Amino acid sequence: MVHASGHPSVLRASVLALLITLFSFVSFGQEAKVLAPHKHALPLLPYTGKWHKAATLRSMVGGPWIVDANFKSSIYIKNSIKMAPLTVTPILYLSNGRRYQLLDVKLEPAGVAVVNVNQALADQGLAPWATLRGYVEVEYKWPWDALCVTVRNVDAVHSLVIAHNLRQATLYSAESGTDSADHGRAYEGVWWKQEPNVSGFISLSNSSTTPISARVQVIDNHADVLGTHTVTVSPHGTKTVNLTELQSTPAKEGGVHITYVGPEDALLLTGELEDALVGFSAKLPLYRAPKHSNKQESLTYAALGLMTGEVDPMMRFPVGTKFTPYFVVRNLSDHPTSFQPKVYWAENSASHSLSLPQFSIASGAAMNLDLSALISSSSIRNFNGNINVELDIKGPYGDLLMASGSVDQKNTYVFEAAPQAVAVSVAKSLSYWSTANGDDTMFTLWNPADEAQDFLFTVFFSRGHYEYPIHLGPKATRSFNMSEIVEAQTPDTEGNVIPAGVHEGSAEIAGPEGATQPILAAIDLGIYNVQKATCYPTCIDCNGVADDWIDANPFGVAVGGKIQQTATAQFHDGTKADLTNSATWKSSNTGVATVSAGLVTGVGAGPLELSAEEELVTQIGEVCQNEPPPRCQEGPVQPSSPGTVPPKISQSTELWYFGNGISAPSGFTLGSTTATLTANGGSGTYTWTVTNGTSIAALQGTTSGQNVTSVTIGSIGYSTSANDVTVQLQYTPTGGKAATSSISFSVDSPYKLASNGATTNKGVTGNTCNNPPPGNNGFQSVVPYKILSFFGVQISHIGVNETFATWTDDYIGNNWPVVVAGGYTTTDGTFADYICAINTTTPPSLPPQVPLSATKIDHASQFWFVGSVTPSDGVEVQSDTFQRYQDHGLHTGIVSPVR
Amino acid sequence: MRLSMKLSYGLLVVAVLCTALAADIGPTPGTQRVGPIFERADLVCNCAVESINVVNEEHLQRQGKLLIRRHMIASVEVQDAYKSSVSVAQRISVEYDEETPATMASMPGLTSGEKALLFLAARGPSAYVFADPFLGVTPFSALGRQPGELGMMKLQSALAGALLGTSRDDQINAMRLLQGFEELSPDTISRVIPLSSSADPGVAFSAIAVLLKTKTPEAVETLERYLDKYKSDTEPIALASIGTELGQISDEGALAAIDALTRSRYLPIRFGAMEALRRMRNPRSAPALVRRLDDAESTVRYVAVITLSEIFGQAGDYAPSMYLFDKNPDFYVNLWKAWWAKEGRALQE
Repeated sequence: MVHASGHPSVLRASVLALLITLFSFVSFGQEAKVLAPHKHALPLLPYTGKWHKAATLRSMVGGPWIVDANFKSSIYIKNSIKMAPLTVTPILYLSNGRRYQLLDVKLEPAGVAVVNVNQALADQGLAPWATLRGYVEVEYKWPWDALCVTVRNVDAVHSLVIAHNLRQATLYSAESGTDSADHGRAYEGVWWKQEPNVSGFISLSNSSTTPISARVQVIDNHADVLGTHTVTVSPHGTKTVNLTELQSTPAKEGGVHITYVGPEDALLLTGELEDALVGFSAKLPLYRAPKHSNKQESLTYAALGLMTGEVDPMMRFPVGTKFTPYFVVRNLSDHPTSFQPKVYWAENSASHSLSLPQFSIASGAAMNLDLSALISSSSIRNFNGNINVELDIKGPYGDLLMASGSVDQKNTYVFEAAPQAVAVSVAKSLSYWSTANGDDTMFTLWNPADEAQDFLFTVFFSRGHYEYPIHLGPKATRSFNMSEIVEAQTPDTEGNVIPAGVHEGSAEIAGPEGATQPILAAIDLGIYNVQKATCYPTCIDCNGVADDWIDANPFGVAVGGKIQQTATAQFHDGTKADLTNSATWKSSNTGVATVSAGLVTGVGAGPLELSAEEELVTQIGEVCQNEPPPRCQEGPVQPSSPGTVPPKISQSTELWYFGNGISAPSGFTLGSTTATLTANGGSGTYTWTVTNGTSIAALQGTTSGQNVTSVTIGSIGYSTSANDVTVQLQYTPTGGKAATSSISFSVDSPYKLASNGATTNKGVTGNTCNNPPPGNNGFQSVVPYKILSFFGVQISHIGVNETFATWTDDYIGNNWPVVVAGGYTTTDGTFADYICAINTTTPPSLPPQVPLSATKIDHASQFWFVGSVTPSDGVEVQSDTFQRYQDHGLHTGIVSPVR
Repeated sequence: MRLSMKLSYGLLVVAVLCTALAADIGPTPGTQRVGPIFERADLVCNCAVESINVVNEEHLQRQGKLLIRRHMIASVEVQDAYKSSVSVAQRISVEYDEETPATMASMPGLTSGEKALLFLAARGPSAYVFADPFLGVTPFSALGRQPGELGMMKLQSALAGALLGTSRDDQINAMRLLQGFEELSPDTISRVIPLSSSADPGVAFSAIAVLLKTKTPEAVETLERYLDKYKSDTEPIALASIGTELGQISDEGALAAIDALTRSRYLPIRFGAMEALRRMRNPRSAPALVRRLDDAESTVRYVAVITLSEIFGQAGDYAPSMYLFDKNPDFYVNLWKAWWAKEGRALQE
């Protein structure tokens, strides 16, 4: 890129600007139409006060800050978060590397704060009039880069402004993927001399902990080397390289080539062009050298609000002040590049455009387009106002290094307007505006589309905001001063006005539907002060997507089950939007799970990756540091989440409980006291756990390990409500994430005996109570029951038994043998208690009398158990009093259930 | 020597039978399945008891009450066999225990001169014990000899033949046994049908219980018709098994009759009808179920609640366990009444 002298003829020939076409008015529509995005804002999610990621320590670095008898330095800090305050810690590093931590600064939501460096130094015991310089660091904790910081140094005496934005200390290292290893780093700059006495300097600050040696080469517009400077910067130190070559060279423009060996972005580089005698100062753009690429992009750059001719008297410049625009370009690529600028302006409420000649610029060369001369020879030579200059080029992004702006005839007032990439964006944040102390802020908004667009310009100030809708026709531009809006005191749609006492704040340009609506807009601003003859830009943030995620991450869904996933995008300003319905959802394995609009359906056990893709603006934060002209570019946002469909669990049989240690009897058809749980999954690690109902059921044997696809579970208690036992399976497929499935079930158990009809009494005879023939030697009473479970199931094929206690004679001296406890296995869930007495003598047993005899013989406490035929085994279901009379028997005082 | 061995054997049998038979809990009449007992029996026969001898007699005290337990051996003649190779007219011995006074339903015994259907398990050459403590002996005054092969069908034919006799007890005993058959032949059914309209409710209900094994709407309608006319306060024990049989009905052709039976004043019938509705899960039964939410019997109300939940797919409080229901029955009943008034009734229209 930098060419040693020796091939001047080739270069000189190639850097000539070629006038290829005459200036001509063009009507819109001759070229492919540039369309507005025509997209709606995403549905917003409510602010919950919580962020998806944890806050981490973040840092911004930059400078220089300069103080002396004339220079006053200030740090402008903007909180990009609209709904949350932020506390930051400014730190000043002196040129010798000494660190001064300043007091914390609390920023309101979307608020700005100004730190007076001179005062801060005085607070630290340093004389504020001493000549000091260094760089600034701002530390804070937040989940993403959330600040925009500018250091502004103003020498009002000499009308000099040196303003630079801080950059994220970790931004570029994260993006480039490089570590802190020492590598050769290269930066490129472009200089131009607005008038012969312009000189310049490069400020080098070392933000690392090791010394860095840098080489600064100054080259002319032919890429011939004018001079080389070598400088070593101590850790956290700052040094300045004066570009003395600019004074002696006849060239009017050229470049700067800076190299160093050290960690990525360890060296903070800024350049300045100035002539203190006339009050000229402008930023010398310095960008990281692009990596040469063959990627051909259609790129559009625009410099907005370049002033030409006499200024509007409303701006209160001295009478007779006239401005001329400038536009300087350096080709950083390794091949010639051509472009044809186009000028847009508004006059008499109509938009106009003018194509300028096509230019060609050689590799490494710099050129000043001399807009002044071009305009003077064009049809707009008499136009007074603002123009926008558009460059359409094809090539790799970053090949052109550009500077543009306007300067008055005395070179005192310099309105810098750095060209910016024109691309679809969402909202853009303007970090600072001021109407204080003679300041005013001029905004220029341009609609690059060939169709009208509506915008919403929102002004933020302490504890308030003000909305200012703007409609712009195709290619239309509008410039306005903040003082106009404040002074108008016109209520917005919410009835807000900007209080007259408000003199600073921030602003945002967005679509009418809000900050997430895609727009195609170019905006720039300049804060100027006519009395001080100063003007400086400030940083513009892209409100792109700072974070995106699928809410359940990782997730599991059962085979045949469904889970509604939601995808969320977190924008730079803190706004959260729901992507669920707009994103394109994909499952990496549709054999495991399918997805539609976020609704995931489990198909088969295994791992998958779920993603939701949507094209959104991905650039966030301040974009004009150490990079080519900024752009808020779109890109795919693709949150993803690993998922696992855990195996479906099946249960071999219903579980029952008949008491501790009592198994279901042979022939029991309703279930068992143990069951097998089986998972139909593939290879992986299985861990089974009872998560609910641990006093009701317990796993037996091996419950975890590789491919433990089935376990045995046994009842140790009973359920009182449905599905109150849950067994969870954690399944980790080989190479996948863990997910759980579960099965819930009930453990049924005998609950109570229900009467199955009336007790029947009959007279009998014979020698046995088993099927006795009718007769008068005694009686047989039959008390029918059915056995019911906790869930109302009539329990069949089960043992029922009884026990007796406390036999008591009611008829003293009776000879009736007591009944022996026993059991019976019912096949249908019913049974009967046969109370029978035949051939007793004291007193004699009788057939049922009419009415039934009241002569009581004896009684006992009777207890009923179900689950076994062995007395007292099983679970108790009823207690009653077994009562015998002379001619019948019955159960009284029935208590069922007893649990 | 021979006598002592015999006594020892007898004591062993007594010991075995004491643990197995010492209970007064038994099957609801008519509900015992005949097939499994037939399977485990070594001999099933229509036998005549010729003589009974006391082998051993013990005087026992149970809770201070004296009783006599005798170990008996009956000599019986096989008049027809349904299982085993024992030939007709062969004599065998049957051992059993008998207590006096008699209180235990699970101790079958024999009476000299009686005829009975016996299910016997072999204990030695020509020596048997009862194969089941409840179904071991069923007296029949006359059980006609049947031609044909040994097996359950032969037994069924013999029992069906008893239905043609005049003995009420034989008819009832035969029908209780037929109720325990898995399958009934058309001939058997044809013999049961006339009895289902008997003026004797004991006979009629036993017959209906058998007919319900066919699980046909006609059988349910027979029950409905009979109950329409049956106004007695006496509740035959056969109703208990009828309820169980009714609960097995799933033919929706019987829905109307079952709906009507849910209003029966006999609890086993209401139980059975409700179980049948639960089995059918037919939304058309909802009005009948809603009526049962006010049943006097808590278990019927619960079955109404759980059946409604199963029919209409309602969970949570609409489908409590019986345990929860019993804690606060009005809550669940009122929940369903409210649902019925607000939504359910409209579903029926």
